[in-house]
Amino acid sequence: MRREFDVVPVLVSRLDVKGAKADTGVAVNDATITEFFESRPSILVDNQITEICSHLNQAARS
Amino acid sequence: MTGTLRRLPGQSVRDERDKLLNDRLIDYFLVAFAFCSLAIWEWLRRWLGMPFAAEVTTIAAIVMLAYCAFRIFQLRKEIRNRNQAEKGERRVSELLSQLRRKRYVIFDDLLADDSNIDHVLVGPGGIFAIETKAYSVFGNGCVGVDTDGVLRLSNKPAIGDPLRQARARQQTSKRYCRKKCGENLTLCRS
Repeated sequence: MRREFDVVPVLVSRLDVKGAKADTGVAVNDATITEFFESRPSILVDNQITEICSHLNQAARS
Repeated sequence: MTGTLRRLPGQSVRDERDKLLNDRLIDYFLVAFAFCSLAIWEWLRRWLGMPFAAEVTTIAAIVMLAYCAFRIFQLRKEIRNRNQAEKGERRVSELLSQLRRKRYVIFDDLLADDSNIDHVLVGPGGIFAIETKAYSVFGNGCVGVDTDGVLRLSNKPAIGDPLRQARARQQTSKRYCRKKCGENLTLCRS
């Protein structure tokens, strides 16, 4: 299950940010946030998502 | 009913705000109260016929009151900013939760490597480290990124460089995922 993929930085603001590039962090207005993620091409399959989430789940608790 | 609970959106911000309220605000109120009590006591001494320099303690109380009022005013601003930040994170969490129907999983206020990531989203589109900023912009209201990659609000650099923060969260998430998922997950370099 060795795959190459990245963590994408996303800055969410209530305001439209002009001139944001992928290498400086992607900025999305909160009105368009769901469309932004929905329009991303699929790179992870279900079992990969499940595995990653099982690890992150530990850090999501306190 | 024991065990750890899932972290809530804006929990770190809320903890910081509560710390401000509990540790600092109460101190200023106590100092102000102590000096006012002292002044009242000195005035009572005078009325009871025991001459004493009540003016000195009154002046001290006024100075301390002015100082504490100033500090409380500053704290109010910090608390207001944290309230705004918490609301922003909760709002974004609410919006991101709509993506559950698209097989996305959202983690709020993720603690990793001594820092917190506002939201981590994992789904078919990949892994996303999300930094939320709930700004109010004054001036011309123009928000943009300059040629150096710095976010500017009304032509002034935004405090704390939020885009740099977003990239830092990305690196933290990467390190954390690598550490936790090991060889099964290879994250490419950005």
